[in-house]
This record gives sequence, C-alpha cells and structure tokens, in this order.
Amino acid sequence: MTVIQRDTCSVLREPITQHESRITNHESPNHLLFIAYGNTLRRDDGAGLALAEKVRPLLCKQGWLVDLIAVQQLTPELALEIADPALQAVCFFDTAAEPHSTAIQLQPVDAQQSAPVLGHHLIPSALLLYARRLYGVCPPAWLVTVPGYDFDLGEGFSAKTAAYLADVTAVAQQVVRATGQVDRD
Amino acid sequence: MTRTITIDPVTRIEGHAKITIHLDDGGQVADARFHVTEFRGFEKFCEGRSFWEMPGITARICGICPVSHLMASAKAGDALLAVRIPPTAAKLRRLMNWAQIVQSHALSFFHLSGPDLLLGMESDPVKRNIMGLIDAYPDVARTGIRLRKFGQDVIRLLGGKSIHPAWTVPGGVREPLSDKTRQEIEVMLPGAFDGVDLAFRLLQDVLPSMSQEIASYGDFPSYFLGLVTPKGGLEHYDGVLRVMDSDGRIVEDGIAPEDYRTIIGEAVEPWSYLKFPYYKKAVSPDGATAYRQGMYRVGPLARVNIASFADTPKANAELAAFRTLNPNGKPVTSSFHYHYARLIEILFGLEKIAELVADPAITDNHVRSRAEVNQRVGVGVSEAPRGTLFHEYHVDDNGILQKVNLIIATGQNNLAMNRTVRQIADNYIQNGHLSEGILNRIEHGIRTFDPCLSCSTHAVGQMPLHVQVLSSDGQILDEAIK
Repeated sequence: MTVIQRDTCSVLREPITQHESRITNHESPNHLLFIAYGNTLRRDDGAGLALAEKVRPLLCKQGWLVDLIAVQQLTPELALEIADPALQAVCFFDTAAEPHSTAIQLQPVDAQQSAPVLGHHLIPSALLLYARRLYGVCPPAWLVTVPGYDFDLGEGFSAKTAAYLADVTAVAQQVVRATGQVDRD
Repeated sequence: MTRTITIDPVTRIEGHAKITIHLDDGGQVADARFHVTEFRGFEKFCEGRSFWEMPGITARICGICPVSHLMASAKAGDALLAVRIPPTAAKLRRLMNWAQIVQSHALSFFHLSGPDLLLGMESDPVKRNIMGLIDAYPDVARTGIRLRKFGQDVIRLLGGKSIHPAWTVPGGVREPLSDKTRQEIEVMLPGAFDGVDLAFRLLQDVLPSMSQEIASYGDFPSYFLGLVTPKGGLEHYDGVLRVMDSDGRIVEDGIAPEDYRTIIGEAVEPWSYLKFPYYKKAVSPDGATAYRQGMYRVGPLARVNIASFADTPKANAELAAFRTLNPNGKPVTSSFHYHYARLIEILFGLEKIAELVADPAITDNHVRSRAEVNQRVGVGVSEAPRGTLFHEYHVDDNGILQKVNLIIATGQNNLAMNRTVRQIADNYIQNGHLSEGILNRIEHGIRTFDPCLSCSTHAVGQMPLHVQVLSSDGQILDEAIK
C-alpha cells in the first residue's frame, strides 16, 4: 500500500507576490503548471496529488519546466497562477470517484460557460473562467484523473488505486503529447 | 396539513446542508431548520494516534481553515507538555493566525457575499453570482483575490505550504522567520491595506439600502462568546473567555480556556449531525429543548461585540464607528453585521501583521520549547475566522490519544443559524409563497455566518441526501433519498 508522506504534499512553486504584473524569470517553451488537489487523509482522494508528484519528475528529466501546486481544494486565487502568460498549459490532477473507470484519464478542460456555484472551492473549468474573465488569460488545460474507490478517513490508497499509481510513465507521455502540441494565443 | 419547503443544497457555503421550512395549516411558518447532512467521525479517528501528529491531522479536516486547527491543536499540545513556548514562537503563530483571518474573511466578503451585497438580494439570479460581480465590478473581484492571496502567501511563506503547514507544533514552531521572508511580507502589506479600504467603502455604500435585511437577517437577542486579551481587547490567538448578553452585560469574564466546560454544554438533535453548543448557565434543566435558552454566537460579530477595544489605531477607530450601530454599550445583534465585523477584523489583522514584522524579535531563532508529556489532559483554544475553536485531548503517558473533543465555530453558531432562518422565513414568506429571491435571502442569512460544515461535522465524505415531508401528526407524506 502506498502511503503519502505529508512532506511530499508541498507547494513546490514559489508564491507570486506581484500578481497582475508578474514577469516570470524562467520562461520556457515547455512550461507547465500542475495543480493537484484532494485530501490526503481520505485515502484515494489524495491519489491525484500522488500522481502529479510522480509525473512531474519524469517531465523535468525531459527538460520541461513544471511547477506543482498541491492543494486540498481549488480556490479563487489560483486564477492568478493560471493567468501566468509564460505557461504553455495547465494540468489539473484529481481523483475520479467513478467505480467503473478502469484507467487514468486525461481530458481537455475548457473554461466553464456559465457562472460557477461558488462555495469555498471551485472546479477546474470555473477556475479557468476566472482566469479568463479577471485577467484575460486562459491557457489550454487538461484534467488528469485517477480512479478512486475508498474515500474513508485514513492514509494510503486502495489496492486498485495504488495499482494505477505504480507506473505512471504512460501518463507522463500522454501529458507530453497533449500539452506539447498546443499553441498559445 | 403542514407543508415542508426544502432548500437543498445551500450554495456558497462550505460543505453540504439543507433547510426545511415547516408551514402550519394556515400557510405560515411554524418552524425552520438548518440541517447538516454530513457525518461526524473525525474525533474517533484520532484516538490511538500520537498527540504530536494532531496538528497535521486536524489541519486536514478541511482545506478552509487548517491554520485554525493547527493553532488550537498545537496549543493543546503545549498544555500536554506543560511548557511555555518561546515569545517569538507565540508571535509567529499569531502572525500566521491573522493571515488566516485575512484570507478567509476576504473570500467571504468579496466572493461569497459580494454578489448579494453589490448586485442585490433579489436581482436577476442569472447575474447574481461571482461572474456577475466580475462583469459589474471587476476591480472588486480582483481586489478580493489579491487580499485572499496576501493571507495565503503569508501562510505559505511561514509554513512552506498554504493548505497544510506542518510548521506549528507542540512547544512552538518548527522554523524561525528569516529576515528575507519578513521583508517579503512587509512589501505585500500596502496592497492588502488598499484592499480592505475598498471593502469598507463598498460596505458603507450598501448599508443604507440594507435596513430591511439588517432588521431581519438574524437580529435577535443572544449571548456572545469569544476570547479577549486579559485587559479585554480584541483577541484571536490566546487570552481568556468572555461571555456577553444582548444587553451588553459581561456575564462571564476571565475564564481560563481549559475551563470551557464550566460554561459550555453540547446538545444534539436527531435531524442534524451538527452539535448544538449552548451557554450552560442560562439553561434550567426543565425540558428537552431548554438548552436553546443558552444560544450564543461566536465569530467576528461576537468578537467585536465582546472586545472593549482593539489595540491598533485604525481597527479601534472602526470599532468605535461600529458601536454607534447600537449605542449605550449594547452589542450589535443583527447577524447581517457579521460582514462589517469581518472587515474590522481584516483591518486589525493587517495592522497586527505590520506590527509583528516590524518587531526585531520576530526573527529570533529560539522558537521551540521541548519536553515530554507532563499532563494527561490538554486544552487548546484559539479564534478561527468563524469563531472560537476548542481542542481537548486526553492522552496516556506515552502521548497516545485516548479521547478527543473538538468544538467548532460553526457548531456554536448552530442555534443562531436556525433562528436566523426562522426570522427570514417569518419576514419574507407569506402564505407559503416562495420566490427565488426569498430562497436567496435565506441562504444569505446562513452565509452571514460563513459556516464551514466540513469542520463542524468533521465530515467523512458526503452522505446521501434524505428528504422527508411530514404531516402535523408525524406521518411521512413523501420521502426521497439520493
């Protein structure tokens, strides 16, 4: 059983302090932002975080610049991070509570067309809409989901979810193929 | 035959809840209930673990106010160790706690309640949302994000991560503050002050048109409870418990946090997973629902009501202006003014952060006291954005938790939230007619408290919805489970 160490669930990106006028010092043609979310104390709910942490170094080895933000849930201020014009694309990582799923899925996400029902958290498409409407920037985005089955309190993953996370090379390749072909406006 | 109107789910709050409004035979409101349908089980989950783990564990109850749980949990740990933490550690904890207050209140004011306040309670529901707010007031929406991000950045700079910082530990904090980080916070402050200035201007603009809402969104007598400094000042991290009644009389003062059980009792109702804390001394044991006499409110409104002063100049001036809403030493009783109180607390938090980062001692390297378990019971109390937060741990000699009790702010406002729903329903529902605008008013009444149900029920996943329609004699007329 895989166990997420708490200290791996970290924000690996320096916080932006000069928001709207931020100019990145590390512009790169292959600069991605990973936003992984979930609760590592509710077993499979943390699988998206674990997946992002496994995929990121594989891309970094290929020369990609990948920032990772790990959060429990999506909140409005992440729109500022998404609106960074230096980004080639954004990938969200989450757990899909769909018992019939049989594989890690990667699917494109568009900005939500209608207003989100806002609580203290958002969904990826709503966050993209925030970025577009507030800052005029909305990079291409994908949602990568790991099938999850057990959302009870506790650490570690169900056997099926752990199996999906055992080898993520193919997922990394999918991310490279998808995000490497996009053209930014 | 009675009718039950169900509003489910309640939007723009954290967690999942529903509201039922029970009408009598004449179509008038007979009762209103704010139900919480998520399950409680977190306290049990913690038993058998080491208390050293608790700050990290409790911070993962939900992603909304992890810092508050860190504070209360670390303080409970301090009590188990029976240590006095280094002064700089206490200052750093305060710094993080105020950052949490700022970011949480900013989200509540600008993004959760902003659409209703600025676009109107009964404006077109298609536009009365955050996107409508962005269209009409883009600078306001951006300011809200900036202010929230300020708080998140301070938390992240201190703790290394904004959601589950493991930096606060029993005995102090893990790492001191570097001068570089201190300067980074200092640089961000002017923009944050600009943000709260805008919020005050917006609120002053809308208040004159909200007299009806102020009078009906939870305006009733209740007790108010919270922490104050030993001298009675506004407090968010330490101090002593104070209780004030709705006439402004201080009925409890100087209560040590570990003695909270002498003044707080907890009741349960079969229709909600949320507990119903009450002020014990107001209740005579003469019936099953007598505990309702001990209804009290916590959170921003309670804190600014019970505080004799705020020891920063700008917040103290705003507090004096706030007092004029209900002069002669009486507390402000409308829950609508939680919004106003939040802004005073944002301002206070920013002033205190500015004060702390200007303090040369803030970068001192001695930030942790070390000891083993010296007490079997530890209580930690701090002020979360939504109100007073209690953590009580019972451990064995090895520090293994035998029993855990958490009393969460949203739970303490439970009785008042129910009363607020009832008052709004009384004022706006006539003959059972329920418009979308009225539904939104009821939801806004709940949102004034900014409830966080994940914390207050220690949710273990979202439970299936269960809706019942009952006749006056208790017969189930209709039932739906999804």
